[in-house]
Amino acid sequence: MSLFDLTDVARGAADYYLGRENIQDVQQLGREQQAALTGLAGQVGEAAQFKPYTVTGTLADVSATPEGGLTVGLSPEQQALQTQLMGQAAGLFGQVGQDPAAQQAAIFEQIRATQRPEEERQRLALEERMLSQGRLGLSSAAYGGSSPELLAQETARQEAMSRASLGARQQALAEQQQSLLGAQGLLGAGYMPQEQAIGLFGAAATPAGFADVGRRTGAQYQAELGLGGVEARTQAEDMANQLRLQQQRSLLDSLLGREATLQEQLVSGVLKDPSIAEGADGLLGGPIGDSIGGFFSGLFD
Amino acid sequence: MAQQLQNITVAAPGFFGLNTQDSPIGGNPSYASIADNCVIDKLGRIGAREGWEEVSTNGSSVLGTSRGIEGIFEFIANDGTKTVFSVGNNKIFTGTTTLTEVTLPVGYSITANNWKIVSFNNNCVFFQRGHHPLASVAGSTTLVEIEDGGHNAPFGNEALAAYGRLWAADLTGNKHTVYWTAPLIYDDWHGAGSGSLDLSLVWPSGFDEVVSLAAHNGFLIIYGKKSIVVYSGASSPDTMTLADTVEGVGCIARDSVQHTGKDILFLSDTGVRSFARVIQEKSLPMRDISKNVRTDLMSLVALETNPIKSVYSSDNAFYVLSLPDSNTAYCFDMRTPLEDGSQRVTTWSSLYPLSFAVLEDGTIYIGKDSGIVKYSGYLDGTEKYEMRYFSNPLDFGNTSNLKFLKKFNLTIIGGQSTPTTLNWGYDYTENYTKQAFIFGTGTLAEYGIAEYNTTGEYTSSILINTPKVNTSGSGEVVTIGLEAEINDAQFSIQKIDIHALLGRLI
Repeated sequence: MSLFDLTDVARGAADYYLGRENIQDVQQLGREQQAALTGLAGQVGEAAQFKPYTVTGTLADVSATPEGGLTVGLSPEQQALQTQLMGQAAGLFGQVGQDPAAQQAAIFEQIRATQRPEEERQRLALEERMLSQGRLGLSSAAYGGSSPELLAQETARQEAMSRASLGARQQALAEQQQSLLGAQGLLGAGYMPQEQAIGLFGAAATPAGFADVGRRTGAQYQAELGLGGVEARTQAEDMANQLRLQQQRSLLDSLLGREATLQEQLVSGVLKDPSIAEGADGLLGGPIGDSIGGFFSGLFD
Repeated sequence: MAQQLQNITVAAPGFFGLNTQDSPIGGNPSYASIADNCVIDKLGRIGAREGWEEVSTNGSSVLGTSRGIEGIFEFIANDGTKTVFSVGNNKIFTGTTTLTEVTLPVGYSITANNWKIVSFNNNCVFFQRGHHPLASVAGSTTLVEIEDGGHNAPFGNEALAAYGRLWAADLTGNKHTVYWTAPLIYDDWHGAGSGSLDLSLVWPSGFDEVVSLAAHNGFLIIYGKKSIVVYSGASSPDTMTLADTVEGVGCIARDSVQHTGKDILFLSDTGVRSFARVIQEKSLPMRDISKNVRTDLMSLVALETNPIKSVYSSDNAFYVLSLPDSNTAYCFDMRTPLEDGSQRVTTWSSLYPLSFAVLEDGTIYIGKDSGIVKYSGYLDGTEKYEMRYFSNPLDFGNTSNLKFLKKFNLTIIGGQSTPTTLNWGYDYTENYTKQAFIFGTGTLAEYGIAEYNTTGEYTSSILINTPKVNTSGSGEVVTIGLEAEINDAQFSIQKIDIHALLGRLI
């Protein structure tokens, strides 16, 4: 083996060494950056963390929870009002949920209660008239075992009852619809204190947002600055690594020479001057290098 | 010095009939105190009633020991066929000369003979309390129970055919409801058109019981025992209305109700009364027919346990009310009412009528224990009967003078071979002085039975007897009477002339 070969080996070993050193430096730099960024993230997160606040009014106290929730504490009056409205709404909803037949029966009774006195008066008048006419005990097969007057009266009564029943049905359904609307209205009204309280909280959102914006902006700045610092260090470390690598490579080149650069090879080709593409011999690239190379090559022969 | 005889004439004595109610003193001498077996004849005289002649010949065999024929009805079918139904001995018969039992529904049992028999739309229907009503369709001798698809006719004791319907009332346990059929259908008591009327709330006295029904003057008259209700518009019962009520007067005998054409007569607990027919006013004025015999009549009515029957004969113009338990019938002359509104009345005894019927030809059938007889002739069967006439005590217009009766001059229409007794008594005594005589025989002239100047003797068409009887005694008031055994001859008292001498003042 020639010395030239030994030089190559040395160069390779040196390159390996330098490369490993650089890798270790880069790894170390990465770990440091990760640690720095982790710390920065923690700082930014802490800076950006939501700060709960409470809005206090005469209607209610509304507090934001750290988790982002809301705690609405209505005033006793508002709470009572809400309870009342909710109770009323519940009552109306209860009516809505009732069997229409039951409501119909109740309304039917109310209608009939208004009709019965007049019916009773008419019945008594007819009874007196029939009594005076001696017809009270009359029973005719043609009139279902009754008299024409009584049959007519009973027919009218039955018609009135039918109309009352039908009207009661319609009224029951209408009242159910009305109850539904009323219940909905009461329900909305029952929610109104809370809505107003939440509105109060919303009204306080703007000033609260100022603090939040400042906090978030600070955190952002902190993050940006932190990131800038990390990047600057990264660049500096990268530059330092480059410089060190360059330094070490120069040192190596000085010791072991160097091959022509691509530029030199291209210029050599253009100028047709091979010497330009020969590179440079290092300290050990000349006779010393050859001797050393020969020595090492003799070792391996 | 001898006083002049005073002639007192009692013309048509008893023309006013009986009067046992008013005080006899100063009363009208035309009233009688006794007028038994008498009628007011067509000339307004007191005369003997007619007797009876047997019609049925097998009465004893079919009637057994029963009371006799207790109901008679002549049914005339639409084709003119006449069927006489009679009831007695818990049987229903047809026929007159021979009483033949009708065919009853299988298993049907009759326990009484107080049937109300009515003709309705070519059917003869029979109603009696507690009995399923029967019908003879078109006069059939096979009777059927009146029912319609399982609906029985009411077991009423009273029935009426009027205004195109059959009406019934007086049921056992329900004496306050009147039922009626569908129009013209005798057995439809439950279909369309039928109906009922509960009178519980109608009686003016609060409570009463239906006894009889009548149709009169366009009204439906419902007789209770103590009250009467009158309905108008009964031709349409569904809309009929009460037109009038009478409180305190009712009808106590179902079969006492009779129509005279212008009046409807009935027996109340205050005597015989009538509703007059007034077309224009549409009212029903009521008269007391029997006011002159009210007490006597009602005392006998109170004794009655068997049904009281009656008959009205337009030919004879009388209304006879039979009181079978007292063997008395009151005969009301319906020709002309007296000034007081009552009718002339006489009594019948010894006739024993259990029922009556007037046939279409005017013949009066009488139900007796022996069967069916008819009101005819002047013998009760083959027996003579006694006619009695007694005046009220007469004072001849001088209440304070003694009267010495000297002579009676009687004018009797008819009376051939009639043993007669003249009675007179003074001062309210009933121990009369009697003078018997007998009228001679005579044969009324008839065309074509003999020749002039032969041995036969004939009187004129009207036999007139004018017996003269000398009398004796004296008294303040005088009662005179005539008792005649009617012997197959008409007997009417035309006039009684009394020759009396007025004495001193008492």
